[in-house]
Amino acid sequence: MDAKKKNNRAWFLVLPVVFVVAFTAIIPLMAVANYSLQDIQGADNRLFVGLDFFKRVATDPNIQDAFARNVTLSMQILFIQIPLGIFLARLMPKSGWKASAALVVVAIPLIIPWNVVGTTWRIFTRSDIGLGGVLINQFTDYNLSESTFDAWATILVMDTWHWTPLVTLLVYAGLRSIPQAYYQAAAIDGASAMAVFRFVELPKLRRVLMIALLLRFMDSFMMYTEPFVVTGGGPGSSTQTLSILLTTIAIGQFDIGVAGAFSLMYFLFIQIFSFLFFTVLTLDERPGATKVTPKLKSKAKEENKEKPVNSKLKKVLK
Amino acid sequence: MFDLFDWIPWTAPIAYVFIGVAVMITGLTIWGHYRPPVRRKGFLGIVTDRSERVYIAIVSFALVMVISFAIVDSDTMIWAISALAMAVVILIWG
Repeated sequence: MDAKKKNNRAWFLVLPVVFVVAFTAIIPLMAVANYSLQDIQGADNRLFVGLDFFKRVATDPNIQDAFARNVTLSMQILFIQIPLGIFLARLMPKSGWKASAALVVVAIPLIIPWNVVGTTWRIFTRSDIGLGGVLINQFTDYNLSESTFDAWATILVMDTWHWTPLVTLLVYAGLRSIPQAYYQAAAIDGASAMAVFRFVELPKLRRVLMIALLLRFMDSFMMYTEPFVVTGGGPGSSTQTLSILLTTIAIGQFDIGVAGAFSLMYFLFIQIFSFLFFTVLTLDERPGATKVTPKLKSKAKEENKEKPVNSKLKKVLK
Repeated sequence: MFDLFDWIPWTAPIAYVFIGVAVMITGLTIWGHYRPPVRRKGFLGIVTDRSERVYIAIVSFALVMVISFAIVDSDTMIWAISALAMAVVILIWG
């Protein structure tokens, strides 16, 4: 019985991490939560306002609009980048120098700092001196500082250019880890390329895709730098993401109480979306219900069974 | 000397909430050590153990509260009690 008992002392090894996380995440989170409950006017002048800031944030039409916009943007990004990433990963060479070269080329956008990506695209899309802007203007009117659609499409294309490689690399790594035996078995069965993808590759890629989906969702839901540099949230507020709006409130207006409440609600929604994605994608892999009847009952039965045997043995021995 | 608490004007409710969460996590860890959690499927439709239900209950509670904030002139107390009841239902039958 005791041999089965788990030794949990290894948990003490986690203590240093707990300590670090306390300073990098928990205390800052506490500070944010703390600010969200009070209106601080000065060093010694503060007013406890309870949940007022939360109510103000939840009923603010600007924040509601930004939330809807951000959800739409994130869904569009996932809808484009995940299939595109899988498609590109399947096209990439499997071995040799071509594979190495393809990996380097694909990874280039990932190593560029975010504000540099923004600046590059800002210049690239200018209708007077930008290659992309001038080119598109030959066919149709394009001006991202005037047209909402142009600004939105530019953000979408830029993000796709910047982050699809992440999905591609993850999927590529996932594809490489599938044993050749699966492909050989599929070939013997005469499976079509589509069937191989559907029944061999896709199930094997599930975990990798889940990571890609979570990373892309969280990143896109927190997107700040690129749209800030390219459109500044405009025209109007048509590309203003939640992060941009939050920064405006926190730093521009120095409304720390409202920003604190906003941050906590933002945090909550990222938690909810990520949990839903994670749960849905790991539904098949989740460990099943504990099947045996409650352990205590079985233990009790075993103990009851042992006793008569023991007493019989003792009698025999006597 | 650097004062550990004076760098920010702390409020009591935040202390209660965070101490509550810390106690809950510690309690669940100790409980899990002596009574390993039983995984089961409730009305949520997914197999969960007790700590997962605690997480779902807390997040659901917070979500209901946020929804209540978005409704103009809603009574926070009534919503909080309803959300708490929902959290308890998730904990027991979820």
